[in-house]
Amino acid sequence: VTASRVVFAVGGALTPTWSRLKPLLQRPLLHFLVFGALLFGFKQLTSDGRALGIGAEPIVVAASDVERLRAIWHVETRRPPGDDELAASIRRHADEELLVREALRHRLDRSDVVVRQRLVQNVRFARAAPELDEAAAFAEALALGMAHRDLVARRRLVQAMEELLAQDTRVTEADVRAYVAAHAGRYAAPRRISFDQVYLSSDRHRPTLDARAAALATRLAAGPTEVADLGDPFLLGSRFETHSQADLARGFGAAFAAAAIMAPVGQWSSPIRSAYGVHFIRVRAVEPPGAIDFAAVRGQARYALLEERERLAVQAAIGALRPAYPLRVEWPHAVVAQAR
Amino acid sequence: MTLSACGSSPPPDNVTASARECFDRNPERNAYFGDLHVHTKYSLDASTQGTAVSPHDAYRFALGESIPVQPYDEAGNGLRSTQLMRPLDFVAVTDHAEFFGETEICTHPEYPGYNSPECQFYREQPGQAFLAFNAQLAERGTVNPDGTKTVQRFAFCGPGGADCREAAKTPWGDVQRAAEAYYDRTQHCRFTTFVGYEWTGSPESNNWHRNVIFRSDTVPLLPVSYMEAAAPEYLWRGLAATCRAEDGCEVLTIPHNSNLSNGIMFQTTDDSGQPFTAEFAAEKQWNEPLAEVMQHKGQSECLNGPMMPVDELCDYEILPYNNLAGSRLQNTNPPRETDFLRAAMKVGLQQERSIGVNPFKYGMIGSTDTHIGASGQILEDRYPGHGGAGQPNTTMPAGLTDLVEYNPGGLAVLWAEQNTRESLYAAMRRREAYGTSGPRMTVRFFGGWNLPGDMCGSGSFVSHGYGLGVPMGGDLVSPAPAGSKPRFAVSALRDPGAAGEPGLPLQRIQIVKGWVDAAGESHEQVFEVAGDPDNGATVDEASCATNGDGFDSLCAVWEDAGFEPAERAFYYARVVQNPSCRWHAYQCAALGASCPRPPTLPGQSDPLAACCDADYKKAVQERAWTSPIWYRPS
Repeated sequence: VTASRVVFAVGGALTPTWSRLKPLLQRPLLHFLVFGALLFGFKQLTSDGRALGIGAEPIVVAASDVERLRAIWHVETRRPPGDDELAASIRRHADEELLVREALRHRLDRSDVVVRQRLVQNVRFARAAPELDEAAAFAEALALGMAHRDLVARRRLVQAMEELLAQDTRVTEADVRAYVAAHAGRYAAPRRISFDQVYLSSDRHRPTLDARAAALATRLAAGPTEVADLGDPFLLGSRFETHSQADLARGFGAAFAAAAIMAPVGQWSSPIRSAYGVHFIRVRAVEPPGAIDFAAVRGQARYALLEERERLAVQAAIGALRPAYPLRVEWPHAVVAQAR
Repeated sequence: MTLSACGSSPPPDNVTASARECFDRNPERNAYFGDLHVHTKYSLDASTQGTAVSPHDAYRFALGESIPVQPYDEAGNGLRSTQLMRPLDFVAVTDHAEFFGETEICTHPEYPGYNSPECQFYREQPGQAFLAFNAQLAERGTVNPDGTKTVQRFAFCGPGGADCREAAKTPWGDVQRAAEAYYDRTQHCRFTTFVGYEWTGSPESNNWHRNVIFRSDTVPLLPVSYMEAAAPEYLWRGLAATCRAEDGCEVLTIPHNSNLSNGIMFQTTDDSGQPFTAEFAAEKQWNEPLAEVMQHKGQSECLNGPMMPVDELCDYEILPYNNLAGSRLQNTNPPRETDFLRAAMKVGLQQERSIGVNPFKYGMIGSTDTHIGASGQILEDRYPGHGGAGQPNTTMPAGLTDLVEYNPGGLAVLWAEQNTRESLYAAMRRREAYGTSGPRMTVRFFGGWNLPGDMCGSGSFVSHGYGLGVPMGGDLVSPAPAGSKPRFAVSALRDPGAAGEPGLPLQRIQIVKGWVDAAGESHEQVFEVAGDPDNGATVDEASCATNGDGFDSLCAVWEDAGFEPAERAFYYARVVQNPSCRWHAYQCAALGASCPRPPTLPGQSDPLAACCDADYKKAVQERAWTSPIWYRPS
């Protein structure tokens, strides 16, 4: 295993890679600057007491943070955020910081594998020492407060903290029944039709399609016994079994599906247009929409509901923690009021 | 040697297919549209501020439900939301396993698997790559009193995966829970999920990534990540050891972004630098039936090289660099032709000629690689940006929602009898699959010696295709009947569209042939087989209005007049839409960007400069690529 393999790289921006940076690391000045930046960051953090994640310290959202959040919003939506939107962004940012601090308070940075790997890699990179002892590198990273500042470590700490806050979430059988009933669109049996079709291709008959469709409608109304030769071949076939509206939309498009699913039974429909031309269908059988088979969907629904509840549990826990972390937004004043 | 045999041989066929029969079951198979490359909050490189989109959200989004987008209010509700116009049929959430931290399982006795050999090894040698799947570890076992050896089992999540799903919530367990929560196990078969993850190897920023897709919910206790398996063959061997067919576990891996691999995706040596052997090539072919031809970070089909006749349709969604560092560092290089699938498929034929097995026998799919959980969000006219891996948003120009060289990505399409994991997975295995750059065109492609010339007009296109030929992904029956030339039947329906998403007509169908001659030289040629490349269809780059007619469906039976029975070859179809606007054209138009750009003040950059970058054409032709059909002389 070579040094470059040890480096765990995703994307590249978050993860420097050895070979590409090797020439840089051989330059002492740059080396000094990289490490110096880490030390400088550490000094800044310790000077206002935030590095160790002590809960009582206020969460400070600096003017530069607000500007960054505004820029992110702009990039994502291509418009500037309104005051309420910027306030929500700030709230979200502050909540993330709260979760990181809680995670540090629970010492999750010491126990989490991802954080550990990430920080060890950072220190080895900054020190240009790929073989640096893992425990020493990790200790150094913690001392520098890197767990608090490294983007990946932060996100992992947030994730781990959310897992911790959600761990006691439970759902009952009655909860699952109520959830299934409330999501009938997902679990109930849709209407299904089995049908035959006669199709006229728009490509083949482009100038005369309407006239041919009218003529075909007349012929079909007369109740021909054999229809196979009346239309054009269609790639998806001419005979269809137990299709729901969603199945029809996949093959024929949404407009056709909406019309076809309600077509009359036992007779040729009026012409139905699709992107491919004109279709006449004769429904052979209908499966009416059905009740929910709870036993069949119970397992699936339980996990979906559990996730919903876990999300709420995390949100409630954050709400309960907020008073312990006073929020100080440094700019702009109009937004501060809303963010509180 | 035993190990590679273990990885290369198909599992015994003792996994019985689900007895479930879906309402939409079709023996002649349906085309299902999906996304096999989706990232959520478990991929910590997701670039948006605190991406909170979970695997559950990604699946609900694919079902057509609205999901929240940050920022969130104090109650946790998104202030924005996003929704797919059309649901997908299947999705695999494929977060980067390297961020899962699942080795936690090994340090907590309450987790299942605490006593597994992996975990014992991990605790003995903390900090080491504990799933180092060398022969030693795989052979680790206890010697019985009678001298025989019992090889220890690697742990898996138990039959049906319940052990992992029901254990305390971890990323890997939650990925499995989400896949279970939205997989429709009723006869309605509305939606299929796959348990999966991404193996994220990027030595020296060269992309080696694979998506790992499991056939069922029976999966390994720990995903084999780049941390434990630092080359593709170690990944496959790791999976062979932990995902065993006799337990009900089956798996395949899908390489993506060969365009950013700087030569390593299609190298013809193994990790120790040895040329491929037949065994190795067979192991590779078995593990990797598919490759991603199109996604958020460009297409990987073809690049016009200096020595080749120009295929103008290759000039499409080409990233201007050749590795993952490209968008951020200056010292990158232009893309290389050999990193593209068409070139690799030709090398595969040459390899087959010399060692007997084709290591690059890839079917083709598209997917998104979205990092915001927006499965299948491929629309050019409302592209939110997919938050490309590792790209900090704040360095992007404020004008566009993504780097101009990126794109919304594509879709995977599978021809399967019904929408179940078993049926879709079988389609992936036999490569009856195609990729699109986003639109949902339906494409059939068959090859055979006796396909009737009038298949298109007969109404029996599909039954003749299966009855007299092989579908996309297959092999022409060999030897060729004396004096015969192969015929290829291709039929396509345009994207039928949906409300707010009308779709466009088709322009033409091409067949791309690659072959190796008697001297071992490789060749390629593109044949126009249906439609009209000069149909005059255009798009107005300022308004994005489309003009001109196209085709609602196209069909052709084409015979390869240049066929030589002694030359191995592959053939795939490319179905091309009329021109339409690329995503940045819509955004530049909406932002009123005029060209040339006014000068900027010193030290400032123009957020709309990309709108006037001639390297990024505002008109594109969306397309579908079928998996090839191969010919091998016997």
